[in-house]
Amino acid sequence: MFLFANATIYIGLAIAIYALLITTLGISTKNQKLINSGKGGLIALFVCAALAMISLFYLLGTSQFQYQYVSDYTSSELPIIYKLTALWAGNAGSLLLWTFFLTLYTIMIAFSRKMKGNPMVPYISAILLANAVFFFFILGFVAKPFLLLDTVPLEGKGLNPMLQNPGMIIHPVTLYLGYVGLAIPFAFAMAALILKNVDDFWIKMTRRWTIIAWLFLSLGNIFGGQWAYVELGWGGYWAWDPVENASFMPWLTATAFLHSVMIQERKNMLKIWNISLIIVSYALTLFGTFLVRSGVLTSVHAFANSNLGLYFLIFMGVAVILALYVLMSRYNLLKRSAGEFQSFVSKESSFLVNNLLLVGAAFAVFWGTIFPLVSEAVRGTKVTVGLPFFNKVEAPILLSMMFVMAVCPMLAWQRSTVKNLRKNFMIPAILAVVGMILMVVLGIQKAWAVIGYGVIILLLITHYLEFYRGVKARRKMTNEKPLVALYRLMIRNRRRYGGYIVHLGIAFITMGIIGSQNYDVETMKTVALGQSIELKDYRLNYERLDQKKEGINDIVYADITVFKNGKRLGTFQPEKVFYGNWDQPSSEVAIISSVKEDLYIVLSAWEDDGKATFVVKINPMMNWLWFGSFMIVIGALFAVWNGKYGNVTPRYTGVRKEVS
Amino acid sequence: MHDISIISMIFTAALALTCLFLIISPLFKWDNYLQVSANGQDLATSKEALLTTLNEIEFEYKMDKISHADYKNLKRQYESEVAKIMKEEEQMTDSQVDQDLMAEVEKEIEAQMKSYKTKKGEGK
Repeated sequence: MFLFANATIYIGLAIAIYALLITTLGISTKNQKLINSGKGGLIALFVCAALAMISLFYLLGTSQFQYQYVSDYTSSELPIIYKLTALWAGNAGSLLLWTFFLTLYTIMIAFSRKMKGNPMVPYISAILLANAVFFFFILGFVAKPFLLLDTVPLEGKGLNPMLQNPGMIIHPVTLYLGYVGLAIPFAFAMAALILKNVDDFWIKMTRRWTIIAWLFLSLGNIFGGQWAYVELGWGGYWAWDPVENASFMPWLTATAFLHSVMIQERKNMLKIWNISLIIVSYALTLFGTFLVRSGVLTSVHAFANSNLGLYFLIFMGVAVILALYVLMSRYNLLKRSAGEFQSFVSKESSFLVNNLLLVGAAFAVFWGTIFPLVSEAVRGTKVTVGLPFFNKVEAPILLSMMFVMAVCPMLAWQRSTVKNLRKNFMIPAILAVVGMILMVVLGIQKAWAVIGYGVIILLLITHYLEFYRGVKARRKMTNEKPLVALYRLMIRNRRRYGGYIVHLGIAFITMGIIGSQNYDVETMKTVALGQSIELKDYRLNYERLDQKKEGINDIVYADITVFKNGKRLGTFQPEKVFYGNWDQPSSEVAIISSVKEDLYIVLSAWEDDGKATFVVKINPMMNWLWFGSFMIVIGALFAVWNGKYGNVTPRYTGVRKEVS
Repeated sequence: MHDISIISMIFTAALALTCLFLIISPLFKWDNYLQVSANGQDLATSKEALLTTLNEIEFEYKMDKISHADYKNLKRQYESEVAKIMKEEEQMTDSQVDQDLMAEVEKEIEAQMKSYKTKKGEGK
């Protein structure tokens, strides 16, 4: 097995280098045979990566502790699912997963039906192959997944208990799918530029890829937040940790990209901006990996310290410099034949504002994340940039973002009429203001919450009206029943209505965030057996403290009966788990969830006489957050679903000078 | 080394051979050159794009986002562009140019828009 497993990596590296060279040679000599050989190399590469994955799965599943990776991340008593998913618990394995996805995506592109006979294919393959060479090199020489130990240990070190959570099974996979996914539009953009194709073909071809990559990135972030919420026991879901930021930044720029490409498709504008955005998004995925793997920043996510990060930084540097070089050399070509804005009141200008806000938000996160490094370099002291900075900076930007999102559906492409806008805007605006006044009267008086919810009301109404008016306009022409009209309206314009569903999802998430950030209540109390803790409408009776054994782990748990307004909700058990093969204990929180709020109970400490200390939190509207996330998935899937409609995008021509 | 077994060697050899086959076999096949598609499709696709644009403008007008005057202007602008393309198409097919071609074209646009609508639906 040792020979074979390592062979998959080194043969893979050799094939990747060969395929890259032969493809480049094929391009320069215009020799189809060489290109075809390179394409064969792509399949070979995929076979190698897949077999490497299977080998590692096999070694992990059968607990072959003579392998360093297996002994570092698993132990024999671990459930089989976690043994297998330990594949992405460490550096080497997670990079192998990344490599596998990269080779998979590459053959999906190179052999796709749509791209058959397209001269861009060799270029795209070459760019993705350059990535593959880098990853196989890393697997072969820096983070080796199949290293043998000198002595065979009897037992493995076990998997970090924090990672033994269903969220952790999916979180890294989705994130990597998102990261790798962004390499595809990047490769297309570069190939198009090299070939001097400055039209929007590359955007049309990668539309679905970008949305899918974006969806996976969103899911990665959401699963991460969900995991942090149930597993880390501090009651929050987002801490602006450098690594969270690392995946949030490409999400922001990819979101901007998704919107700005529409302007290029329809108006032939913002070409340079779009290419820059995709370069930045791609670079940020590598930068994120650098942050996680280098240990330069302290973070809950930090993998074992290694010089791996440095390689990523160098690779990113080279990639960005080359990409910018290509962009600059085609600058004049791109500049020519670009459309212009005709009116400030138009969908495209609202998209532009949205882009500036998203990129601004990304830059603020970037600055906050690297500031400790900068300050260390300049002043010699490492300053930590904490939650308050990010909250203060991001809240207004993202709130303005919501406002743009609320107004945008009311605008037409190219030119909206201010009078009509005013007419359309009036009712939602009045309703939003009435809603805000109502909130203040009913006792919601924090400025952020009132403004935030006001904007969201506006957003919900404008989106509702967009659906309503669309159905009405359609019915005027077709006389269909309302539901039929709604269905046909939506499937004939998947991207637009899928996008609206995603917007609604974001609105729900924002409501959840505003609620849980502004109105959470927390108490920490030490109580004796039989005593109770009161928090708002809740009464928690502390009834029992006990201990049990589960496998090699010792679990201390408390029985708590929860009453809400005197009504019994049931008995819950917050736990503290002490692991047989891990130093740090972890908290298993008890969460009682409802539409309105979550009651979050942590058993934090206890004494011999049975007294115990609990942290009890009320986190309002948490379920809104998860529901919004669900809507994002639905909306994104709806948008990419292969329908027979919507393959032609309207195209607006430039300004026409006319005299009359 | 620990476990370089015969099976392991066989598998490795099989992998190496498969990879070699994949990259070498294309080199011994006949060249199949790229088929470069003719440019004739361009007109059709840009016409289709313009028709969708007209459709979208009409829909946005019906949804009250643009005023009547703007709608009229935009519609006229894009219709004349469709007309231009249709003229080119006619010239390509070498058909006789009619005396009042414009009137014909106008009619045809209307008809095409109608059939397009029934085919594609609304709102794009």
